[in-house]
Amino acid sequence: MNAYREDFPFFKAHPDIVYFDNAATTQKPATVIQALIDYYSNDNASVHRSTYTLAQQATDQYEQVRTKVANFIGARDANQILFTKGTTEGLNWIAQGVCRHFLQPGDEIVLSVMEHHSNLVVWQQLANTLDLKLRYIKLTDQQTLDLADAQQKITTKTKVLAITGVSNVLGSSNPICKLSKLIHAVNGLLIVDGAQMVPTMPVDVSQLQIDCLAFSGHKLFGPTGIGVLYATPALLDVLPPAEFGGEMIDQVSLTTTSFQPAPYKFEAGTQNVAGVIGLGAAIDYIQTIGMDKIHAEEQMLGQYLAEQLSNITNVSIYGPADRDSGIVAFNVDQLHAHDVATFLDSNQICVRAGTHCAQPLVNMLEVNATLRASLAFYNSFEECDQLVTAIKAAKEFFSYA
Amino acid sequence: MPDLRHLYQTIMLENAQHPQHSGILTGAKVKKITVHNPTCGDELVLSGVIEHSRLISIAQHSEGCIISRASASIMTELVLENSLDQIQVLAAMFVSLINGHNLANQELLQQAMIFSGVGQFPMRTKCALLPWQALVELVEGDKQ
Ligand SMILES: Cc1ncc(COP(=O)(O)O)c(C=O)c1O
Repeated sequence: MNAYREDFPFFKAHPDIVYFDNAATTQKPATVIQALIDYYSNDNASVHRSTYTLAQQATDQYEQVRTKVANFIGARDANQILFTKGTTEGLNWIAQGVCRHFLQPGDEIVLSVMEHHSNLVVWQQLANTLDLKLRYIKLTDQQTLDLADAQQKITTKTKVLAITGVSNVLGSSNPICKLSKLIHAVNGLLIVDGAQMVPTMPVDVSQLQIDCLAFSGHKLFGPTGIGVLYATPALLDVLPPAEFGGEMIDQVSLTTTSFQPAPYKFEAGTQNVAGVIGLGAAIDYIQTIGMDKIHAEEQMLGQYLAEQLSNITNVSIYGPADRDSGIVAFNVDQLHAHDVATFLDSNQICVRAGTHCAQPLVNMLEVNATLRASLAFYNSFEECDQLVTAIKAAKEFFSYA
Repeated sequence: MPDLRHLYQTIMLENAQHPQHSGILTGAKVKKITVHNPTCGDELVLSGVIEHSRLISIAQHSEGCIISRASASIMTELVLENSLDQIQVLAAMFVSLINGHNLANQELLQQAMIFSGVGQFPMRTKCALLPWQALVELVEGDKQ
């Protein structure tokens, strides 16, 4: 068994469960849970509003996490970090802001066919309303992003490239560095969906010249309901707030309002202070291990699982042969993913079955649904073997008719 | 977790493997309904002909899990030749069955009773209900 498991109360509560749904949401280390308890037990006070000492302390804790997040992703300035509900909210804010304020009818937005619905539907709806053009980068036969196609689709008409760092189905990472050069050569914006990338590999937004990055706390061993949107000052200064309310204003009269500078103009109303503090504790925890190490472990687990599964007859694995994360999507021939998932559940193995909020991609794989095991660094080779044994048993079970 | 053999009974597996009334009807009088299960990407096309408030022919084309395929197969066999009123009664009974209620006239559901175990797997109830949802849509417009 894996020593990191000790850090997670969930695995004490469920010693026999094989939790392979980390791409959906991760378990939380005790330090994150304790940070939430401490905050609500000792430090709960309103942030940014009140003048008494406790409120000041809560504000300080909150703002320290902003700095921590900035350092974690290589942002130059903590003011480039906005707190959101999660990836979905961050991508919605940025898509709305960019499309409505920077783009003209006929401008092009480039996405990839492997996008999660949260980095697809919002662009599609805006494109329909504002008469913008969407173009999609295809996959190669090896189910990796087709860079030659990217080169063709990104032209001087392209204003935005919005793409995931790591596919939540294929488990592969996209060459953000190369894509960054392509899109910046035509003066477009690079918007990265970091929901799967940030939890599994080191990300440095300055080095990669990412203009916007969105990710979720709950996939990063932190609490639900908290996420991060990083953006360049050039964008944050010009983009208007997505929502209006308390705290984000500078001066309000009955007819006009002036806003605070970023990030505050984007954080309307009472914020998820506990979530922010929990996210800070999650980053502290991750850094005791190190993102390089986490990446290496998850890659190794993903590679091992993919190889073991591919040794079973009539199992198809999706995604490129070289794994870059712990995500492995697969199917058992003749069996539907949901039936297999129910069988695995009865063997205490939690995997996801379905279209994984990426219907265009799953359709392109020419199946209705897939199974997906997504492993984190706290998973083990033994658990991979358990899954393999259970898949063999599932084949047996469903063949008795 | 309840026993899987209770969920996946032999009759269910057989129906999934060799579905009854499989296909899509064509012709001027055919009504066709397509339904989806967005979480699993499953699709079901139900086609039928209604005359004088009676379902005189029916076919189902189901791409889905064992539970939804078997449910479509058994449902079509059960409701063929029934009046639209009877069909609505059966559909309501089936929904109650899946929701775990005790039924007074169980025998009316005939083979569809094998889905009584699905209620214990709440994540799978949608699969069993999908064909019935299509059926209700199919007959709805035609009922006065
Ligand atoms: C690649 C990708 N993008 C976006 C999201 C959306 O994240 P959230 O639901 O936390 O907003 C997910 C998670 O489901 C994801 O895997």
